[in-house]
Amino acid sequence: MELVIDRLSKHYKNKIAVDRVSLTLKEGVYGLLGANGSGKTTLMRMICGVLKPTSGEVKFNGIDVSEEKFRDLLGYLPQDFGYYPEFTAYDFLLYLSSLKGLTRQRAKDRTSELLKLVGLSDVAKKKIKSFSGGMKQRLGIAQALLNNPKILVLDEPTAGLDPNERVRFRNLISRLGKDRIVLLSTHIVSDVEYIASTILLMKNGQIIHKGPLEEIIRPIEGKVFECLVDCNTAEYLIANYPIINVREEKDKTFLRLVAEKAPCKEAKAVTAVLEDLYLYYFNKEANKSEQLYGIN
Amino acid sequence: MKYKLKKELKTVFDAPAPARKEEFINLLEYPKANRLDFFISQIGYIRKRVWILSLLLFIGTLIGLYFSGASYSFVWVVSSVLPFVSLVTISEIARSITYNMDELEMSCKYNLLEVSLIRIGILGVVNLAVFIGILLLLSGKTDLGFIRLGIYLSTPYLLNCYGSLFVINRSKSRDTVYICGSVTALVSILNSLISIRIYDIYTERNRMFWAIAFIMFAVLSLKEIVKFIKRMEDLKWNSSLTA
Repeated sequence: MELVIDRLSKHYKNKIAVDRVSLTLKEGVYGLLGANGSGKTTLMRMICGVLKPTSGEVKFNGIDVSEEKFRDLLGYLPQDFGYYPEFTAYDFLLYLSSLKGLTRQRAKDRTSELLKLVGLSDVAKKKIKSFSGGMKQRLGIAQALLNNPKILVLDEPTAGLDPNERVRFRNLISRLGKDRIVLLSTHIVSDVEYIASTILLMKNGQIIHKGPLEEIIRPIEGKVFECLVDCNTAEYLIANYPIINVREEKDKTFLRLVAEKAPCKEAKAVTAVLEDLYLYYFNKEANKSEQLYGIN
Repeated sequence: MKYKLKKELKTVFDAPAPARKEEFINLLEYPKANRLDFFISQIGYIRKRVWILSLLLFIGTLIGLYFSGASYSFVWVVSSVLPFVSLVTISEIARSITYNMDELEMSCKYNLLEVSLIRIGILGVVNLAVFIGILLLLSGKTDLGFIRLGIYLSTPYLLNCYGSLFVINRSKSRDTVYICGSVTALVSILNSLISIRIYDIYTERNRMFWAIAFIMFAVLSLKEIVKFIKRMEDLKWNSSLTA
């Protein structure tokens, strides 16, 4: 089982959304991390055959992404999806089952199974328009699993889920990743940290880092520091180092930052986590948005 | 004896929990629905309002014929109502985009293009059946020939098809169906006004006008349908969707 992405690119008029991405994915859970506009959704859409690439190709065991056979093996949860207003959760899954080529009886069985799995059995006959964001998201996850896909692509699957639902979802994905390729994108770093066997870090349309958690955080291992400093030192550190966390504490400021060596005498080296790496790489974007929202 | 022993054993020992049940189930190949099953299933997903409006129009024509008989004014009434049938049909064809289901449907085995083609096929046949039914009812009651009557009735319908598809193919908004509704109202009013104001619009004198209008709108509608299908093949996403 091998999903090969070969020099996949997508260009718009004045923007390169995805830039010559090449990957080979085997069974397991792959977490795609990146800031807004980094090209995650575009990449996922091309992998699902929803968006035509400018160049490059996507093949699963030699089957091209444009073929019906490929779509037969695919489960996809888009970032934003709609539903026909007259549909109940049950109707929605039955409808998509028919599009996925399931027989009527199999569709009914699978729909009931999946509604139970995502905890929507009680509201199966209720109109989707009455659902909360989390319920809609769970329904979206259920539809992606209807055809028992070999490739499961989930764009922001945990958006709108409460902490309990997220834990349930993580467990489900971990189980699913045993015998299929699961590619998920999220902004919630901890989701990726817990369930992804391989992390893909995307920036400006390119995969800048790829590997298991231990490997991927190696570049900042021993470079993450925490300190409790006075106002002036805090200002100096904020201006000169990539900051991961700031917290005001009485007359002092708590900082978590990345530096080659201890930036001040109060600084203590701490164990690096994925969030540190993410914020380190996307520091510029984070600072830009802070300025945009007037935080600084 | 053996049976008794088995029964006893069952009561003494609990059956072990199935091991790797899920993996085993995943290995099974379930029978898949074929294209015909898919086609039939899609008929059920055509909204009731399409069938109801088509039926109402047919019954309305029957009632109208019974009470007022076939006259030129009856022809323009029917021809002014027919664009609404095309509106319901077009809104049905474009509803994947209207309700943001396009991306999901594009990723399925039978994708958006196939769904759209099937909808166009089913609704085209329904529209044609209603149209021929009305034509048969009216043609026997008027001195207008079958073809002439067909052209009078179908020209506003085709104009509306062209106008609505023109809007759908160029608009990126999900509210295009409301614009299409306005186009339909405009076509219907225009048709009524022309029929009322120009008293000899349905006479031999205007034969060329009708023939040209019919051919022109038929060709333009066909072009827009082809464009719509091509759009379904490769839905163009604007860069705001690439976050």
